[in-house]
Amino acid sequence: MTGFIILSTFIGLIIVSFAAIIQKKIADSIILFMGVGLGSVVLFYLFKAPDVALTEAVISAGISSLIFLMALKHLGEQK
Amino acid sequence: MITYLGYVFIFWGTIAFLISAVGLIRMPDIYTRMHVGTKSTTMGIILVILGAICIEPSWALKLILLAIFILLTNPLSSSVIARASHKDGATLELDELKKVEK
Amino acid sequence: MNRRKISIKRELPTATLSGFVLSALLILTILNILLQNMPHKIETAGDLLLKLNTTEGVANAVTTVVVYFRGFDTLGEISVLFIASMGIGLMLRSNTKCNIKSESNFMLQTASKILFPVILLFGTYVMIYGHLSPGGGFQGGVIIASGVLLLLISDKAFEVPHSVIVALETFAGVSYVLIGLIGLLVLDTFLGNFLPHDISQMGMLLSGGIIPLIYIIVGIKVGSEMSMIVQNLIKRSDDV
Repeated sequence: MTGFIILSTFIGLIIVSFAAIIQKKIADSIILFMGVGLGSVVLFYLFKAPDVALTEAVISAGISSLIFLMALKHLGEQK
Repeated sequence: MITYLGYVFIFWGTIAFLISAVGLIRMPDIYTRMHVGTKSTTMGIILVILGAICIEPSWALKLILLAIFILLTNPLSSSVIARASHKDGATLELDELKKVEK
Repeated sequence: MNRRKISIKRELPTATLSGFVLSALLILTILNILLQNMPHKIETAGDLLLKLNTTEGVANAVTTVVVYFRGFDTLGEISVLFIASMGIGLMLRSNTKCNIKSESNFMLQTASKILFPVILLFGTYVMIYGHLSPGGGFQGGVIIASGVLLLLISDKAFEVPHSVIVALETFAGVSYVLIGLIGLLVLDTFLGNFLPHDISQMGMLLSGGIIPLIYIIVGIKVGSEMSMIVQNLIKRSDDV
């Protein structure tokens, strides 16, 4: 069962990260990047590393995506 | 016995999550999507936490604190998103209020 | 009234998506083949780590590795974060003027006052219990910084006092290096565990020697640096 969850998380992670690359708007790819962080949190937890999972959750959801968004706000939407 | 009650709670909680996920795809604009994404998610999380309390009664205090935290933050985030999208000029897709105004 | 049909296909190109699925399957197959040919010794690594863990009296295995065996590494990470914070502070020097254009609403202002102590408490909990449960200095510091971020968003006039941040950061950095040097003097290793740490007390709050102390220091440093980064990014005098 755990193997199946790990496998499906892997597939979802790969799909979401490719989708984050091909987005036209930068804001969309930042949101998808947050999705990549969420998937890796699940993977770290399933691989018995709750410390790393906590770090990844706090940093990817709380700080890094927000810093990206604020930097985007400062730069403006570029084409 | 109480363990099975917990499983039933968790089952209904995941059903609420599923309804929320279907609604996010189905709804046309941001306001209705936000409505779906907040309300049924709150209910789903509360049900899952109730189920977890039934299965492991020794975690009850921490889980109740978690539920209170989610009840505080979830409406807050939805209201902030609604405000931001209104400022950004998002409109309703099916606007029933336009008929009333005319 | 005509209902608009909503479909997922409208937004996602099917050809690229199927390409992604195919490549994902390929990568998974390769991973599977690679993992099956692994030597079996990898399963015993956890047991080895647990054995090392009991010598240190810390209930959390990752803590032993991060703080005790790789303390010098942690010092490097902290200085990288410090340099990043300094660079952002130099590039986006914040005056007292603020460029958040819209007022936040009443709900956010009230809720931030209620939520900030809760977030602060949770960050401190994660920091102090770092040697017993998942968590630690970095995580606790970032959680505290996110609480500061909530205050910054909600209150237009709020500002992290710069002198307090300078004092906290200097104190934390200096005491980290000092504790490491005391360990070097007493036990001949940098960050040697010179405080008493009995294995019989493993799992108690006041156990693990200097490791909780180090985690609190790291938490203070990371929290103040991240707060400063967030504040510099949010508040900026000139508009672009």
